[in-house]
Amino acid sequence: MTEIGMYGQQETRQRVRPRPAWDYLGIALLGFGLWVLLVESNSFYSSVLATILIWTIATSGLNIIAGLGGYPSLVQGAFYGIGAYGSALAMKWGQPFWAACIEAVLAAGILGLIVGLVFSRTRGQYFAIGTMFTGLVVSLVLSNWQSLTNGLLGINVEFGFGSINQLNVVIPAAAAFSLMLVRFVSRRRLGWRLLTILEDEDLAEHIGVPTARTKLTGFVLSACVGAVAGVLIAQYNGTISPDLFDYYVGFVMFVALSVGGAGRVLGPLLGSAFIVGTPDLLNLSSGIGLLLAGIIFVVVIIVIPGGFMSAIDAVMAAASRSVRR
Amino acid sequence: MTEFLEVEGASKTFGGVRAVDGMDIKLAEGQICGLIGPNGSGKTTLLGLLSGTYRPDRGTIKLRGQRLDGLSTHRTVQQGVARTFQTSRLFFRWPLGANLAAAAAARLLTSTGDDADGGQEKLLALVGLAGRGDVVCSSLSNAEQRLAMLAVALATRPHLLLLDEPAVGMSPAETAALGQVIQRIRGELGVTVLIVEHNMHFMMGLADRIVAMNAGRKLAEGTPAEIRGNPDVIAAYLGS
Amino acid sequence: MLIQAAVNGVVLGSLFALLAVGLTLTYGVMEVPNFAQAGVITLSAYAMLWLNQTAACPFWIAALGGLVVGGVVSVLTERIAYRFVRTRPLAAPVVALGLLLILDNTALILFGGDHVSLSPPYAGDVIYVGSATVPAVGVALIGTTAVALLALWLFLQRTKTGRAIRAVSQNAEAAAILGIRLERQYIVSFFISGILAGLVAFAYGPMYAVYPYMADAILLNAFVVVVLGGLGNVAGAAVCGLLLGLLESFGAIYVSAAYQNLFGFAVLLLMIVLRPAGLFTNRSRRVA
Repeated sequence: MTEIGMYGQQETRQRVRPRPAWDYLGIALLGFGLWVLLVESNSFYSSVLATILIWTIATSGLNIIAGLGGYPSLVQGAFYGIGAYGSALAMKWGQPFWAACIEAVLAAGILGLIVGLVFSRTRGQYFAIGTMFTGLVVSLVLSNWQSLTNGLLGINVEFGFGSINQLNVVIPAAAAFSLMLVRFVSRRRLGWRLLTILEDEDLAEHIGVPTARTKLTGFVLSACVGAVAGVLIAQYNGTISPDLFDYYVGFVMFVALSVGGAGRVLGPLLGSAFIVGTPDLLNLSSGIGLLLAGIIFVVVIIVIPGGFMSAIDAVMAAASRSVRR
Repeated sequence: MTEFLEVEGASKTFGGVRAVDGMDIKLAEGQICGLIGPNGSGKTTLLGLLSGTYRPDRGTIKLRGQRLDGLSTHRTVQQGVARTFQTSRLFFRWPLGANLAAAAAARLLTSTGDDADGGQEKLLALVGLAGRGDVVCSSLSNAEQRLAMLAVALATRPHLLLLDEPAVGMSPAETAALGQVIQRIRGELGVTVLIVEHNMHFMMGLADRIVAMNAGRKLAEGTPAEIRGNPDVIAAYLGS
Repeated sequence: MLIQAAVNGVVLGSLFALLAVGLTLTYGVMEVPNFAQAGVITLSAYAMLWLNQTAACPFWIAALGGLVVGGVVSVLTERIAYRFVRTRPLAAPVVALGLLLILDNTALILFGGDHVSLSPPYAGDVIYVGSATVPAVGVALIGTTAVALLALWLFLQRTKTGRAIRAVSQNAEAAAILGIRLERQYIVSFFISGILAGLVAFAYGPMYAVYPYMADAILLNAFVVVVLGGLGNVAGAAVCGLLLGLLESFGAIYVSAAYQNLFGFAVLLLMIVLRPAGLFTNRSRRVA
């Protein structure tokens, strides 16, 4: 009999999935490899990779509500920013680092709860528009609240780790954990409930899925993971400013997820690598780099609607067919 | 004695229109009850009230003594009410087995959708789709999809099954097969069934009792034979 | 003070209305938000600039040329990209961002990133309304918007193509059954939307400056208007544009300039939650 799996955005794959332990092991190995890359590369590539990994965390969080649940949340940037500013400010006010992290994530979770409740009856493009403008309102308020956030000038972030080496371990580890989290959630009740909501929310309700509660849980979880990414970017950069979570950040994170493969475990990693890496690494005069990026977005989403992951799927399926012959 | 299903004075208004107006229905357990009426008489709205899609403005709905009115849809399902729809509704991109697993898991009958006791196969055999569990639902024929929808509803192990025009788009042979399936649902699973249908021939042969509605109110109630001869019912259909 | 706020509000409102009407037109027929409109405005403005300054055309010819460029570019976005994602609304943000990057950066590559000024013959003139002042370019904006809205209204109400577009916007399936060729209506809608973008470039360019990201910021406000007025509702967009302009203008003067945009956005959030179909649409929502 078939069990509920992660069908993602494309047709069901009929092949039997390998045992779950292999998936986690694979991701752990990937994390290890990324750590090696991070510490061995020269400082330019290293910083690009670090940003990619931190974005992976944020978009992995987004993957829960948007990838599994199908709700196009464009507000992930706000939770990212709250993680950064929350932890930085908490430390400024005397909190030890570990407490500051928890408080920042909690703050993001509470905002996620509020936003999730406000939009509990909103779907589709209205949800997208609504969350985008929520992100806009959040960033507007925070960048104008001079006394709290120092406005556009930004603030310095106290370093909370023992050493740079620690930070360099935590970043790829957190990225790997965020991928594992999505893998874990997708096989659990929250995950397949979100998948039913993605397929047909009203039908899901009629087979007994508590859709409102499920969506809210997914949304809050997404927000918390986004905040973790924010904490790390603050630590990595040393200073933060409001353009960190301008409204388009949430928009671009959603694009990154879609291009990488929404609903797929590795989608966030591929998408973040592309979105962050392309402009930085192509290193052409900025206009051409972004122009190319724009062209690739359009081409990718039209030709491979499931993102890079579904292209990889197709290639592997074709390869295994030719091997069997 | 508490009736299995007790609807008292249920009313629902939409924007000034009284879709359901003071309906009273009593069903005993294990009955197959037909709900007929011309278009716009409120049948689907009544189903919506029973399934938790709508909250009645007035009146009560009780299943085995438990209040259903006011519960959300998913809680109504948890209480043992399942329904099918006028148009086929399934998780079309998923195989049929996955649909059933989701429905079973949603009732917390299984944790991740594993089918340990082979319950899925029995269900599929019951509705006449044996062995079709691996087929993606979008590939099923229209009649198969309607049977699949039935199986999914049954996978939630309901006490009360609400069918909204289940025979739509079926050939006479398929309709006859459907009738047998519904009999088996009542007989083997002990599920009480309420069917909204336009196909009189189908209903007459299948239902123990029939409730006729018109303009949101109960017009008549009785055995199929009694309803068939009822002048008010005939007038309502001819006049509409 | 009051009159100045009102005058500013009308100018701002005209801008919003002009922008929103162009957006809502394509939103109505394809249910996809066209963020790339900002890029169309940019290229249209640069076309006008190039024609006027490099090719030494008279200003009005250059303006006309810019309008045509706007229309053509807009149609291209439909033919090359939007056409393929009509059935996949979740792909729309990606396409929109991609197109915006393409258009803005094409402008950047071709013309450079400096702020350039587009100067119509009447730039610098100022008109007095009571105790308030309004620059001539502002008056031009109001005038352009008024003429454009009137022309659009006549087109949608009185011409066969216009009525077809309204039909598609209300119910594409039914329109197709009635024999209306959908593809043609999409192309026409995008062309008109592009012309409207060109008009925005013509009216807005002189007010601020021409540079590759000139329209990105006001697009958000236009978005608010589109949602408030009801997606696809041209009249709604026009009215709400004016209202939002007045609201923001009064808000900026009487409450706080920094939070000027906030009012509009807060209203939008309220609308999305309470009445997503907009203030004026009476499209019925599907029940369950």
